[in-house]
Amino acid sequence: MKRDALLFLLIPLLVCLLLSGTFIMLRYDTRLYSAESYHHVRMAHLIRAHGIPTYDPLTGQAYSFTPLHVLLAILPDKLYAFLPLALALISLLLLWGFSRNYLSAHHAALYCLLLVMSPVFLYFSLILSSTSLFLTCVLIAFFLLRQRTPLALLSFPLFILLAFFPIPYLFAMLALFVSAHLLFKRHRKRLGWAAALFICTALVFQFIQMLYVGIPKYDLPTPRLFLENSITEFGGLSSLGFFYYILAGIGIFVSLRMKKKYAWMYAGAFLLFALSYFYHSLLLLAALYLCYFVLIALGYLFRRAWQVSSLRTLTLFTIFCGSIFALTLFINQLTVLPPSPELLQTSSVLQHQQEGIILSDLETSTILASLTEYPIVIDLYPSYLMDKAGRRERIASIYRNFSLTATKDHLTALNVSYIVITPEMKEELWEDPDDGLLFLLRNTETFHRIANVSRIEVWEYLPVTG
Amino acid sequence: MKRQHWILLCIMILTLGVRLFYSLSEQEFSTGSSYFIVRQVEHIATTGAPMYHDALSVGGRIYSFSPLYVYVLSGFWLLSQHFMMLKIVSEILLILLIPLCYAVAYRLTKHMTTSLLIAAVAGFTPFLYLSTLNELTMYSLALPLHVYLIWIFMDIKKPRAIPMFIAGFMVLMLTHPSVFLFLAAAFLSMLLLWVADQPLVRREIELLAFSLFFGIWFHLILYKDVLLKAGVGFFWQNLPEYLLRNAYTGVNIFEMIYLIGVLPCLFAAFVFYRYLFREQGRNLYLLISYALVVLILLWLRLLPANVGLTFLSIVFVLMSAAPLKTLFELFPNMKSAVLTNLFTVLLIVIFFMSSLIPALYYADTKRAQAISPEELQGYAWMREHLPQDAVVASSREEGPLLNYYGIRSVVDPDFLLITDSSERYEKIRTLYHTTSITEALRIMQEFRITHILMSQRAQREYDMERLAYTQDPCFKLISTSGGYLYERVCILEERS
Repeated sequence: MKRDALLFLLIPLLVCLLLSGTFIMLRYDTRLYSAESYHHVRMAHLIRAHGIPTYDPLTGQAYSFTPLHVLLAILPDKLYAFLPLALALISLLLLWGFSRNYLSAHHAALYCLLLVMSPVFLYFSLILSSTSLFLTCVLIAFFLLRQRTPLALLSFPLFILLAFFPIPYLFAMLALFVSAHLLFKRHRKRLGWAAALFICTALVFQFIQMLYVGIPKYDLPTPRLFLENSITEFGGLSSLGFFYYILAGIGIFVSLRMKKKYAWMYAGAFLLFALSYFYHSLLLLAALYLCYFVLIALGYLFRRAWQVSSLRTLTLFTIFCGSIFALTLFINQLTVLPPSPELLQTSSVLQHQQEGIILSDLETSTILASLTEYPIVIDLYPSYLMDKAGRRERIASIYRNFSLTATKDHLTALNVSYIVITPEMKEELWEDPDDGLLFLLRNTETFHRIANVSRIEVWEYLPVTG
Repeated sequence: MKRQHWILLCIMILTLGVRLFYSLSEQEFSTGSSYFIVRQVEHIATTGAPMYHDALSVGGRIYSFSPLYVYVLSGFWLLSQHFMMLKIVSEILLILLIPLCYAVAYRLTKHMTTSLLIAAVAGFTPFLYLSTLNELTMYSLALPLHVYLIWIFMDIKKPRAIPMFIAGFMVLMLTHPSVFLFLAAAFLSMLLLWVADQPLVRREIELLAFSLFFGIWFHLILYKDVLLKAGVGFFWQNLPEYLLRNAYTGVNIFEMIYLIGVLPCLFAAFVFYRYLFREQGRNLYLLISYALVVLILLWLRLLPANVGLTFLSIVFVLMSAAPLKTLFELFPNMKSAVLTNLFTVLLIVIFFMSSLIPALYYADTKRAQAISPEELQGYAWMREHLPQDAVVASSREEGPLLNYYGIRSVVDPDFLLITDSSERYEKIRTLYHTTSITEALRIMQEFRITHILMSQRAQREYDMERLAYTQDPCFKLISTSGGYLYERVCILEERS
């Protein structure tokens, strides 16, 4: 029986390994996935060179500590591409172990498979992110907490470590404690101690960090942005397919008959999903719960005796097709995830120029800062940036303005030396090739084109000439 | 054929006659968007596939839509390439509502007079004249299909009902995304039944579950590009904010009563009261749910007012069947047979006339909106005299018309897959309203607009009399037929 269970476990593990592994190998040794990975790599290199900083020299804002940077600083660069996959596989193993307490071997395997097939899990198995490390640490910590006494003690250092993650993760941890409190019949005292230890450490650490770096200012998303980021069919990457949400809804409805049994699930799913509105990466944690509800819904649809059996077959086939469709869309998006090979070429062109501040879109700026080590106007994570709103206004004005005088004023104020225009910017920011900044770039001598690498244009700003 | 079927046929012929009288009395259509359909029909007739990419819009356009309606029309277009053919087919499709409404009313009441009266009133629903007469709209096919699904769903226990339902559902799915309106209503009716402690029919739930998943999957595939580009804005058809405020504006109750008709609204209110709070009516729950779903969507501004009212007017007429039957059953209890007959005739006349008179009024209004011969002359002139790369700024409605005549336009009623639709529309509005020649030239250059058309339609849409800057030598009046057409003769050069 135990061997059968292990065989079932192999299915999601292999699927994860095959899917993520293929994508990693497609870019191995050349590019990482997403700008976020490049941001973490840059910070890790900074720590490796100068120890833990208080200030990020390339963005001009205070540095906020996260354990991932330390881990990356310790690891050799060659392993960066594989780290997310390794963390995903460990998490999967632990989740399987957890679910085996409540589910049969094949149901536990199906749960893991549903998770592996969800875009959000795949996404975090490819990019370097604090969320993947946080999830693995949380799972190990809770796994150890449920063991016999000497082993359980090992969980406490992990709970202390979890307190060093950025603020949104601390709220997620509280949500997980609430959920665990409702789930655990035994070990509640231990859980209480772990929570107390975590909260105290987090409070002390955050207090000290705030003294050094100030209070972070996170951008609040709009409901529309949240929906578009959370649903794969709307183009979201760390997201779940439409069918997953519908099935999760059915699962919640079906499980209401045993609401006491599933109270921990409702609490966890609701709190984490609500938190993911404010900090989108936390959708990965919410997905752990939502996939469980999807499993319940699928079980219900499978087991229920349908009056028209052909409708059951058709419905399940449609669900399967819909899930595959979401996965295909996600893979389609993944293949064009930055950086493109052209952006790498652009960065090497820039590296041959004199150092200067780069202006581009947020993702490109973040990647270029990591590749060239040149300063940038703003990156994807400006939580500690002074005058964030002012900078954004200036940037918007630069992109839209037809007046050279106004554009020059803004560029000088931001001390910009290079402007990098990507095809995505051309598509999203301007209607026409002769609109706003594009018009000025082409028709004045204030800007000099350094390179044009497959539609990525690099312009140098020459304030004196114009 | 039974007597009631003859009467029904007469009602259909009468309604078709009236609709065709108004529709065919004008050579052209009443809306610009009809010409988009005509272009699609012509494209299918020549290539066999709908035109999903259109070069006659600045920067090119990609369209996404359910294609069945245009395929149906193009089949007839092959027989006769005349607008009249399209108008006749479109009206015949809509007339199918009458037998279907009769069938639904009969299933609800088992009362022939009521059912026939409902069929007659459905044919003369006032708002239907305003929203579908003398134009090519997918609702001409979608509305009868909705009523067909309601009819089938009311008796889903029959063995043949499931394949018939699935077939109807697929056809509606291929016609219009409003299929989700039916699904929402059906699920809500299940909920009402559950709340009313009535037994749920399992095959209904199973059928709805399959339809929901299949419908979503189909539309996810069909509108994949739109969903990726417009995101959640897809639900509002990516409309610019300004239009969103107007098109999706909440409809107040008095306006609704005026547009739908007093009696259907009164009867529907009675059904709401009686069957939601006092009695149970399994089949009526579906109609009540339909009305509730539309009302909620209108209230939440998720459904354009004209679409919502079109559906509501049909649903309210169908809901009227139950109180009408009650009234008809009251009359035989009267002492005098003369009185009974008098009241019966009076009720029929009042109910029918209360729909007929406003319907004819709206039909006249719609006919007056048809493209005039002067406007046609203007477009023909443009086709002959404007250069091939000319881009004309116009009202939204005129966009598809210009395209039909081979002229490039900047705006049209379809904003799906347009990047930054709000900004584009705002700028075009500014182009018409601005008093600054520099601003006008800048906007024209931005969208490569070479000409600006100041017609009555543009005056109506942009709510203004005349362009403020046309006296400037930068603009030259080149045509006055069907509106003033100005040509831009200057180029704005920005200096530092």
